[in-house]
Amino acid sequence: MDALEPELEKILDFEQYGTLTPIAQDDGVNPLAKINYSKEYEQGMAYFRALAAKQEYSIRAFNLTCFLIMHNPAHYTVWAYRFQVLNHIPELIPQELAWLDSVIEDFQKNYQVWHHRQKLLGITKDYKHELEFTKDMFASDAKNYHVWSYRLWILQSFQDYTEELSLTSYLLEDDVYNNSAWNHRFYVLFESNAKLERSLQDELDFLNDKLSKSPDNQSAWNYLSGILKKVGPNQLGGIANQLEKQLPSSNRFLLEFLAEYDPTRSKVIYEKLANEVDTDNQLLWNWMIQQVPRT
Amino acid sequence: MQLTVSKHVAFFQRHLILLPNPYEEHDSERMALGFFCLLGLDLLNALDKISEEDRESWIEWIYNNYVLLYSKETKKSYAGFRGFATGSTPILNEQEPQLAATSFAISNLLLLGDNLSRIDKQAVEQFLSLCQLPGGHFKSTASTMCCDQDMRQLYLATTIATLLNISFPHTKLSLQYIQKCQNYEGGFSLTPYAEAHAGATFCALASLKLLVNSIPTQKQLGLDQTSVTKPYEFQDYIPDKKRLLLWLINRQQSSGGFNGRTNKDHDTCYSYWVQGSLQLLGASQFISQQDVKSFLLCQTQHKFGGFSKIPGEFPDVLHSSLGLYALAFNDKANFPEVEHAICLPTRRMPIKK
Repeated sequence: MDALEPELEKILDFEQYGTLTPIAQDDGVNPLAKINYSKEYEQGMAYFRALAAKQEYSIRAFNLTCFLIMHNPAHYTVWAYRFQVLNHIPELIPQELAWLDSVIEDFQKNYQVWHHRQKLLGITKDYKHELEFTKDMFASDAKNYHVWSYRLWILQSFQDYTEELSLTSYLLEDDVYNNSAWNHRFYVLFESNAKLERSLQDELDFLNDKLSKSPDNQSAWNYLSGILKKVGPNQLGGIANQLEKQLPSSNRFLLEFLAEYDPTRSKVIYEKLANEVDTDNQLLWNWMIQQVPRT
Repeated sequence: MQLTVSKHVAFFQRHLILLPNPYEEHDSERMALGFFCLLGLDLLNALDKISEEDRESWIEWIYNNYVLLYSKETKKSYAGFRGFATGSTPILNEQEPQLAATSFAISNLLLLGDNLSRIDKQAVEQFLSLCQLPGGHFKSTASTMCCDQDMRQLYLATTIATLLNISFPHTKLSLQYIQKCQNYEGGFSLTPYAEAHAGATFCALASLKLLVNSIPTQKQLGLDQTSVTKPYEFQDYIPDKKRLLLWLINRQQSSGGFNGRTNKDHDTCYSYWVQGSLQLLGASQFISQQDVKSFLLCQTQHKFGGFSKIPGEFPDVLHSSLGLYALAFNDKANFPEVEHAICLPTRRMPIKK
């Protein structure tokens, strides 16, 4: 018996499980958080319990996990059982990756599918396929936290950073406000042990270009602020001057950056923010003035 | 715009009778679903609407999900709650206690008026030890077959330790993990170097507060409890307080709602995670309370009761209870007093002996 074709996943022929005695949920008479299950899900789970009780790791068990996952993609027990089946029938693994790739649209915001992929990667070691896959995922949602965390984990496990700058550049070209891409880039350049050949000046030029196109972009300003904290002010004179020349003096983020970059100007800048530029946040800027060390 | 109290009460009551079919996707999280409904009712001072029969049955159902197991490795018992009952036969890790289920179960028992006496607290202490990883973070069960291991599990472990007044395993390791998770933007991420996220930030700050302020922890850290002035503040463990504060304040959008990450959209639940964080820091004066209220009451409060994630969607139990909690932070007239580090009204907190 072959594993299910994808289109059949949402319906299941329960006759093949007829030899099993389904086991009902042990839910008591008056449970908390009772859910209005569909008949198929309830039936499917009853057969699942029966299969699990026998520890049957077969194709029909595999198909049943497919079906149940489509109803409840967060069912970590079903995923764990599916993984056990794959351990027993490793011939299913290539097909498994293809299936995961095809159904991922349904599971984007789900933790379990990523854990499952991670466990499979432990077997296949094909991290390049996974990196490629995460790139495909970014096409439909370039900010998916799970996908970025997964990609980060792959980098840390397999230490291959070759694509990261081009990937983040590409994504930022598409959407300069993509904070996930900025965050990933910051990690790769300033926190990881990837020894990429990229001068600080080149990166500051890149950042300056983005800031001039999106002067209200908190992601880019946070990135600059992060660099300032990492490398100190000495090498940032160029970009600080350029930004101050290019951007209006009423740009709140510019002012915040300058206050951080040059502490001798902090007090005056925070006063300007409090009293002119960002009066809505007057309380905050007055508090920031109090934090400035007295000289 | 007013809070439509009776509609919200009816919303939670309906969902406690039966959760609609779309919740089938969350079948593994029923303990949490129950929690959001009970919490919602308590925030509306309406727990008395639950019949005695339901109250007792639900307490029994929760305890039916209590498991006490024996670890061959440590030769000790460990205990906790599982998220759902699948059957009486063990299926892989399904019979294993789970951190989220345990935390929500304890909260549910407190909301339902149970005194937690049927829980073997030392065994739960063991359970927490088995879940802790060498890096100081936690996996969601003692079994090696799971991968959920991020700031959320750490927070759940601290909540459990606090509510049961039991020892936390290696506190210093967990404090270090939390510190590693503050990233360049100022917020905290779910795992080191991932993106700063308001949910992760709340979990980090609440965990810090609970860990640093708890007596068993203080003993571990060798802090002097007898001195007059506090030798510690949980805020002292935050690597960059200023940047954190600025990042949190920047989560408030022009709508009055909050986003969870830079340049993302507002979502009702972030009104809770961000405000909760600011409350813990004593910094809630820096955001506009009027705008907080206006977003929730005018944009995500639903005409059928409950709150939705974003304007125009249907309400769900999570966003409904957290939306109410977000309002409760600043409205002592209409809501009971609420805890900051733990998601419970203060009157439900167990009294420490």
